This record gives sequence, structure tokens and C-alpha cells, in this order.
Amino acid sequence: MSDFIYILAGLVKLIILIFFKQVNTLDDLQFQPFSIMELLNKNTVDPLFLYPLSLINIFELGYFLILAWLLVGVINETNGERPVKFGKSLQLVTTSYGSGLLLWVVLVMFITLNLN
Amino acid sequence: MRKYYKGIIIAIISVIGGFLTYQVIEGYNEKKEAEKNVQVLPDISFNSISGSPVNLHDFDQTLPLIIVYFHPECEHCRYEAQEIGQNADAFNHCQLVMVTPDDSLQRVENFCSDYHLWELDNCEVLLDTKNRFQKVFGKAIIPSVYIYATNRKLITHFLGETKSEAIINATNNTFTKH
Repeated sequence: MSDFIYILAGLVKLIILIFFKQVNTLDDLQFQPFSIMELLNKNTVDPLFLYPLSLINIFELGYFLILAWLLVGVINETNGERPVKFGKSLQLVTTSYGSGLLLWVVLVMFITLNLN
Repeated sequence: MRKYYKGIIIAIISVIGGFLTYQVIEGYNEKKEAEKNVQVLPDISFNSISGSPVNLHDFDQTLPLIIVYFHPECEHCRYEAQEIGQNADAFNHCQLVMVTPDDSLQRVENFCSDYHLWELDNCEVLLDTKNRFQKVFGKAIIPSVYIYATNRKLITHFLGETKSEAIINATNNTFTKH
């Protein structure tokens, strides 16, 4: 269910591309709305950091929060005797999904560095 | 038993993550170091076709220096050499140095003949038999172009296939930038 936020991210990107952004080159398509990268000048940032900075965005943050929120319901449904709170669920998401994401980012940086 | 497997999986992931992180930091530092090194023409020698060593500083200091890193078997390099050959007159005011890591002399000679590079007086083809170019210039992709002004400071560099117009424009700027 929480994956739907990425569809929303895609829709927002599509709307921005259609109505608010002029696309001249393929490079113009490579942006992530509401990310830290959008606050910086792309030309001054090392290509190595483009992906990590694009990944820090509102939708990714929303995914963490929604996943943790939905997980509270699932855990409490199966384990009613020891209900968990949102904070504990968020901690679980951060250690599992967060560490996987971190490993993925490092892998992408490694590939970027060796292919460039 | 479950805890044992969990520990092994965490250890494997940590080792992979640690290795990748180390490689990224190391590679980034090397890249930055190389970027710093090439700001001024590095003191580096390659072999000429005849086998004698030629230093990049040996060329006429009154002309801008264009270093093209290429490989005869690379399709993009063929296009670039063709562009240079066709626009030879536009490069008259600079010194062209073509550096290749290819170890086949025959292939390099054929390449130069095919694109009439021998006919250019201001073009020198050098062999990087010990792969020193990439050590000094960083992970230069093939083809790469480095343009130095007459004071041997880097004006600009292009990674990948580059149109001759872009190179000519950059060399024209060298006269105003130093």
C-alpha cells in the first residue's frame, strides 16, 4: 500500500514536466521533485552525489512514515497481546528498509564512480 | 540456529557495505586528486611511434596543446579523428597530441593513415604502453580531450565523443584566458 506514494511521485513529476518545466535535453528529465537536489545547482554538484541527493525527498520520507504507520496495524493485528507504537514501528522500518536503501545507494555510487 | 543465520547474513551485508563504502571513498579521493593534478599540464612522458620518449612539456609552448586520448578500435574515436582530419585547418594554431593505450603499433599506424593524421604537421601520435595516462589524468574515458593554454594551464576537458567545433572554440578561448 505504501508503495503507492511512488506512483504519486511519478504523477507529480509528470505534471511538473508537462506544465512547469521546459524540456530541451534528456538531462532535463532527470530530476526528482521536492528533493534536496532541486535546491542545489546541478552543475556544481559532483555526479557521484546526484543520486543520493535526489533520493532524499518528501516522497521517500513519506514512504518511511506510511510504511511504519501501516506496519503498526499489521503487527498489532497478528500480535494483539503486545501492541507496538508508531515509534517502534518506525525504528523497525529504519533498520530494515533504511539499511537496505543505504546499501543500495552505496552500490549506485560505486557503479557511478567506476563507469564515469 | 535462526540467530546464527541472522548473524551470518548481517555480517555478509556489513562486509559488502563496508567494502563498497571503502571503494567509493577511495575512488572519490583518487578522482579529486587527479582533477587537481591535471589543472597544470602534468610532467609525463609517452613513447613516440619510433620508440623515443616524448614529454608533454616538449611541445611548442607558444601553441595551445590539445591532448586526445583515443583507441584505434573505438568507434567514437574514429569519428573524432575524422572530424579532426576534415577540419585540419582550424587546428593550425595549436599542437595536437594523440595518446593511445593500444599496444598494436600496426593498428595505430593504420588508424593514422585512415584519417590522414600523418599529413598534419602539428599532430603527434604517442603510445601510452604503460597505461600512465589514466594514472595521471584519472579515469579518463576513451575518447577524452584535454585542452591546455600556452601557459600550460587546463582550459577545459571533454569526456566522450566531442565535436571538433567545441574543441576549436575552446582553443580560441585559450588566447583570452591566460
